[in-house]
Amino acid sequence: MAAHSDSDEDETFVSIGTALDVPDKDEPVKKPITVQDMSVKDSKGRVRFHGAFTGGFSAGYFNTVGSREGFTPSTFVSSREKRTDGSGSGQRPEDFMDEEDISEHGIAPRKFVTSAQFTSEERKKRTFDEAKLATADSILGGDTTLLNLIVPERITVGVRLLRKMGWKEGQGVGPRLSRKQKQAEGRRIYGCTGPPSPDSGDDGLDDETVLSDVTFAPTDTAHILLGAKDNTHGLGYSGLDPRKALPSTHINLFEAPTVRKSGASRRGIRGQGFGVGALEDEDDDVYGMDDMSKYDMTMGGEGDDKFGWTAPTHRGQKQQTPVGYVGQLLDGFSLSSKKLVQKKDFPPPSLPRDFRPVHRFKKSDDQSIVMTRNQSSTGVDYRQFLKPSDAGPSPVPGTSSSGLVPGSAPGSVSQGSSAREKRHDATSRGVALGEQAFVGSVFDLIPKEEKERINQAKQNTDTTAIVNFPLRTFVSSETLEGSEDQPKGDNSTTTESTSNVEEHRKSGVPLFQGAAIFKPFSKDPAKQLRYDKYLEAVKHGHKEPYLLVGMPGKTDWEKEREREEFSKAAHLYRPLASMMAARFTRAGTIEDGEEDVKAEQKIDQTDAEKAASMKMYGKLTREDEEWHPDNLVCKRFNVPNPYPGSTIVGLISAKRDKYSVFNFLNFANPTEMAYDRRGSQTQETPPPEEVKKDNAKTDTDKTDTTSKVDKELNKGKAMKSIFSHLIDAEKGAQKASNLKSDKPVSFSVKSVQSNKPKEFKSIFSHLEKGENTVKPAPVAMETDNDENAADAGKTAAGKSVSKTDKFAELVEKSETDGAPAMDLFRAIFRNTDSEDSSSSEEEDGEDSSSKLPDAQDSSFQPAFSISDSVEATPATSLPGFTAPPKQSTLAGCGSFVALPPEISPMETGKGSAGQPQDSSGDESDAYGPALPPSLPQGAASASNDKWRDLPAGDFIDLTNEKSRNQPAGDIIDLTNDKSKDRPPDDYVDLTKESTKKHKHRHRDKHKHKKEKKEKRKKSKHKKKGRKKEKRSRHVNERSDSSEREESSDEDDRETDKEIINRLKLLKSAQRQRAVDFM
Amino acid sequence: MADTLPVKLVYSQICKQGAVRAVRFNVDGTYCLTCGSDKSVKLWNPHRKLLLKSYMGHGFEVLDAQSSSDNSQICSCSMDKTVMVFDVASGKSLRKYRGHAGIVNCVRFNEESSLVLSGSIDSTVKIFDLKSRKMEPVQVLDEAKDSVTCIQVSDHEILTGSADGRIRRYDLRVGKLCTDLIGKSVTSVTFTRDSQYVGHKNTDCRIDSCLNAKDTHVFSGSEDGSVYIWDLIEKVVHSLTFHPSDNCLVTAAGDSMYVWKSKYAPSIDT
Repeated sequence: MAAHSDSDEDETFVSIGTALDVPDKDEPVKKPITVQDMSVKDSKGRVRFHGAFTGGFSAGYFNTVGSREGFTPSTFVSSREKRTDGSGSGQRPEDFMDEEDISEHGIAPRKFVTSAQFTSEERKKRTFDEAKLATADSILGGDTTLLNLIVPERITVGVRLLRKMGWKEGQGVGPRLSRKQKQAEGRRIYGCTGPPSPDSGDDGLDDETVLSDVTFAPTDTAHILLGAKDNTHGLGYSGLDPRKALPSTHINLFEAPTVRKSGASRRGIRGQGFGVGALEDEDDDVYGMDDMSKYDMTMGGEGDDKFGWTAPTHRGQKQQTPVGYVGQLLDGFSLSSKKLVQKKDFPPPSLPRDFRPVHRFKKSDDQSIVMTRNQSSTGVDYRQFLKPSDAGPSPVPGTSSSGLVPGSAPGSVSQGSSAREKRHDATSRGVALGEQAFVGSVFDLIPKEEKERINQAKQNTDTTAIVNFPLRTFVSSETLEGSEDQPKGDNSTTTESTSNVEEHRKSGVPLFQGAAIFKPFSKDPAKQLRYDKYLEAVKHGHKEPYLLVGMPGKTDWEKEREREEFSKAAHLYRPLASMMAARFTRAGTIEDGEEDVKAEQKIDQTDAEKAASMKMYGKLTREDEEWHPDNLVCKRFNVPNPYPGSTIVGLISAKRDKYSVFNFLNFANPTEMAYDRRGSQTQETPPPEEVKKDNAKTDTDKTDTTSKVDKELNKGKAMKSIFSHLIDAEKGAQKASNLKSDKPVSFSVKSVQSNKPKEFKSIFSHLEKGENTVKPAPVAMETDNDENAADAGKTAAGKSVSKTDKFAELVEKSETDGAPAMDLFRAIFRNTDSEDSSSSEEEDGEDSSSKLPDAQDSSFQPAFSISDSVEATPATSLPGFTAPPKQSTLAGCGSFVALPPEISPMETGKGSAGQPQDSSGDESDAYGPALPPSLPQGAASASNDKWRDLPAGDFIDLTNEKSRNQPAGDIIDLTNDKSKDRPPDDYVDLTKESTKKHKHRHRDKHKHKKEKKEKRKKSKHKKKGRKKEKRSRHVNERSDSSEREESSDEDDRETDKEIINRLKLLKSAQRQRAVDFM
Repeated sequence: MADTLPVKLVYSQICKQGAVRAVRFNVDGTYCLTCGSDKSVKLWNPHRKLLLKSYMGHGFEVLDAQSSSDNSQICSCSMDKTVMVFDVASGKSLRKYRGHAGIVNCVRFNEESSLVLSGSIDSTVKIFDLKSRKMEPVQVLDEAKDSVTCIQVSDHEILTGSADGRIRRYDLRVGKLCTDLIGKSVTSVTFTRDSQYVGHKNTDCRIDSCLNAKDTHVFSGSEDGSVYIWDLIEKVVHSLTFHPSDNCLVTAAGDSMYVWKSKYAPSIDT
């Protein structure tokens, strides 16, 4: 019935289900249908269901069968004719069924089928029977009753055959078996075993009386049916056995199941549910019944079960306490048969009453010890175990002081050694007794010189040996270098060190562990010694550690090679700690991934932070770096790649992977090596006394061999590299410095003129090769010096006397002028110095291929050189720098005495070139070499006078293009700036923040050089222009003596506070400027 | 001047997503996104006070989000170290970048919305390319020494602020990295409109908003260079966004966001 809404007929609705009748108001209210009325009826209208309590389903008429009246019992009919044949009389099930039951879906459906009589088989049989009847029976006549008795056998042919062969029902098929065979067969059953027959075991086979010759038929077993697997179940799967899953009977938990077998019986294939394949381990029988046999029913142990098989053997029988034994025997223990021996107790030796557990060393003792040890071939340096801190109590109190080697750690050893000195050993005793010398060890077979060599090598492990080595020369150098302006500390320490090694050790020189551990040149003891010294120098941060090593009587080439070797070795075999330290960054500080940036960041971090804290944002807080964006990023940003060909991504300085092991192993070509060396040379500032000493030492060494070296210099010129020039230069400088005190000064000055042109040429050939834009210049500068020194002997000394006088004046002047400023610079560089050195140390370890670190180093130098040389204090307590200025002013300034005052920075730069620490190239050095090329090739004869007269501008202009673009570029700017007029207030500002600028300069320079190393670009130069200006101003300011005087006076009292004040000033100035700008 | 300041609280809305970590306008200021601590990002129409959609998929609190310039995508970053890009219409996540080693603080599209830049606590900024299906960053800016707290991207510059107290401006056109030391750790940076011209001095107007956020004052440098000072809200205001052109500010504090307009704007009843 579809319900239609009246309102909208247009719409067609699909109605589902039967709609309720609309209740008609007029219709009388229907009587509610009672439960009785609601009855289920069958197709004929009969009620079949009567409710659960009234009989349920019923058949027939209310469970009466047959009629409305119900069941009518059949009456007994007795008659002879009608016998009960089973079918006619009695009750059949059908009698109780109605037609519904008999119908197709009833409980006993009836079908019409062909009666047996009319089936084909039956018909055949009938015809057969008739035929037989017709043919065979005459006796029985036509009576079939007898025939019916005879039933034909309904057995198959196979069975019949088997029977004929003697088989009987219930037997197995096969040959008969003996009794043993039968028993064996019974056991060997795999696969599906039938249910165990209850009587299989006791069928009489057990009987002993059975004769052995009786054979048995095999047991009748069902064939294993190998049915093809036609389902998709897993192998071995069989369906769930409902009988197992649902035990229908009462489970008796207290009775162990009889059929349960263990072990072997479980081997069979036995599916028992889902998921257990043939290859899987069977789970526990989840559906199996639990029975109490699986549980431990008794509480507590079963007697003595706790011991197990390791129980003591005598357990059980009671232990018998021995007669003498007092006490109780522990259960499980027995008394041992042996008695324990009481240990003897030795009391400690009593100390003498006046013993004090602190030992003081006498100097003479110590020395003698050193000597004896060196001579004796024990070779073990006990003192290397010593550290100054742990000079503990000497263990043997009463021993003589002469034989005692101090120290706590090796106490026993020292005791032994001292004892050994007194006592005979086996061989000595043998000798004393007149025996034949016995070859005791392999070492006795070693030839004597070899032995000596070994000993020497051993001794070299001791660093103090190195210190001790040139003691004599120390003294002489002391006398040479003199009393005039040496810092006090130096003198005292050196003198002390001559006498007391131990004291020296206490003064804080650490043992260089690497040297003791690894000996790369142990084959050549002398070389190893030199290497150790070299390491020591490196350790103390000498700029030119190799110079201190000094190899007299060798050619430059050899020296150069050895130097490279040393630096290589020092790199490779440096102590692990420093290597590891290079890989970690300090927490909290700001460090870049790459060390070269890190150092300078640290330097300017402080004032950058200061500036930032004062909200003075500007140049101080800003850093510009070259940064390469990824090509794709550029594309996505719709910006042309600023570095189209660049393969670098990110910061240019971060181009190497700092965690690669191979950074440490890259020593490809010699030039790189040289750079490395540079890096290593510029390590920490030396502890003052060390520097002094070493300088002096090498100096004296060289003075001894001056002439020799000179010869070799000339000889080896052909294969000299630029770096050999460098070495020579430094040597020359040193020589000069030595000579200053007690030898004619004219020496170096004189030679300048004669040798210069030639040398210059070679330098600039280097330049033109373009292999190194920064380095050669300073080198050239130094070679210049070097030649002065080298050829000093040849040239006449007379001419230069006046010049030297002048020069001396200048030196004096500069010293007096610059004295106050020194404090400031020291204040600045004392801290920055060490940081820088550490970083450079890391760098040169890590980065041998890139040349940046060198650039940095070199850029770092000028600060020293300038400050030292120009403003050097004569007698301040900064000993590291005091020696150099003297040398430098001597060596460097000699040739430029008469130059106009504007060029004085140059002099200073040149001066610095002479000193060993600052020898590496810097910008102030750089314009030194710019000088010579101005001289034409032919003007080799050009005298000093000629370019003494040159004005500053000309002087610069004369430099060739190359040098101008390259390191000399700075200088050009400088000169240009000089000519320019600068606003004075700016200038003052700059001077005030000279310290700051100073640091900035380093960075700028560093960057500048870095960039130069890269492809030089004009734009970059432009950018740098400003910086250069600054720098040049700065330099200029310093050069200007009058300016400097006032500034330095101020600087004298420079403190951090003042720096801050100045920063504030600067800030206010900037603010004002900003206001103006607005 | 005061008229142009959004000083009137038009309404406040509890976002029902836990603490609101960030609130961001879309490009034209018609919609805004809130990032909740319940791992969801919600898209609102702040002017009609309508919640349009919420985007699930992050594994932890969402710290920042931005919609692309064509409003078709939303990038978001989360404390689960991932950066996700959602499709605005369907709400499905298109990309999930797992490149960072730590919490990702901030995320930005570039101007074309073809790159996603994300700054993380692992002190790197990673640039992911949306056009390719690569999961690796195209470039990693690892110059920062500490957690990168904020990024801004202009047409040719990337500006990052880091907890090491430095602002880094990567200029793609020139190929330079300009590092400015601020001193304290920077938590928010924005470009000024005239950044192109000023060049060296105040390229980056710093919103010290989050620096001072702890004391309920919010200083925000806006495009007109003026400074807005807010101390109206009791709770910590930790995120705010200014309408790109209109005079409207949306701030987030606690579990709700606040919409501010100029004085004369009609207030919407809550």
